[in-house]
Amino acid sequence: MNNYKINKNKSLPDDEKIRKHMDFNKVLGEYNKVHSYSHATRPFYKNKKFMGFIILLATVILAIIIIERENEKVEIKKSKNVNERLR
Amino acid sequence: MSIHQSTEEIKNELAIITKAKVDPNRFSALYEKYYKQIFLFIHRRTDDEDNTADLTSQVFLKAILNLPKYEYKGVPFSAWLYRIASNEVNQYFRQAKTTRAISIEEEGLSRLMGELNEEPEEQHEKEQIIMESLNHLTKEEIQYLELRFFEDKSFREIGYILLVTENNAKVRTYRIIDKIKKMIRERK
Repeated sequence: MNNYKINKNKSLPDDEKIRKHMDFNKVLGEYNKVHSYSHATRPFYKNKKFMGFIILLATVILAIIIIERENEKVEIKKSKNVNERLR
Repeated sequence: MSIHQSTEEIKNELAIITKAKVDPNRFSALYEKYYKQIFLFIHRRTDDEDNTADLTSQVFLKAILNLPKYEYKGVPFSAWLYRIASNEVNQYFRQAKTTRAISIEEEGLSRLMGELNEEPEEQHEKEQIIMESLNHLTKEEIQYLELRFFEDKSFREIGYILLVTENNAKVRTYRIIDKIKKMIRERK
């Protein structure tokens, strides 16, 4: 069994009392605090620009590695050919 | 109380929401319009003015923060605010060790009594039985009764606020009514 506090026909705060608590600037100030904090501490993987840059960088590095390896293979082939010719 | 808006009003409100999504300063119009409704909604449950003021501020803060995710789904914008307020109140009572209040006004009580459709007997005695039976309901069941009978919300709005379908809100509300009827019969 729950024990609720049952109020029958209890008067609610009037308009004047309610108005006293209204402060949109305070809410907006809180919003700016939370919003700027959540922006500043947003995980990097949620930053589209940053992730785009990382993907581009990874692609370029991968391309360089592949090209380097291909060049190495060509160099090895060339040196093999030279060695065979020398024999 | 449930507010039935005209198409023009809904259009104007949606225009403000669209602007407020870009510039939160524009939200002030909605804050002015709905502050009292949300404040009273929370006050009926907390029965404490200062806590109500804090919770109401939290509701509007969460509303501005989540406004970019808001989508119009055929119910007034106020229902979205009531959903946030309902969650805030539930969270407050999970953390605080205070007693949940239920505020009943004559109009709401007679709506509920009409729905119970019991044989007429001493009015005062009947009210007493209903009030006692509320203590046997869960917090979730109380929410359905409050929204439907004490705050005069449509089943569509209740469903939207409590994250169930309109039909589910209707079925659950009438199950609670049956539960109260059963309790009244057992008392006789």
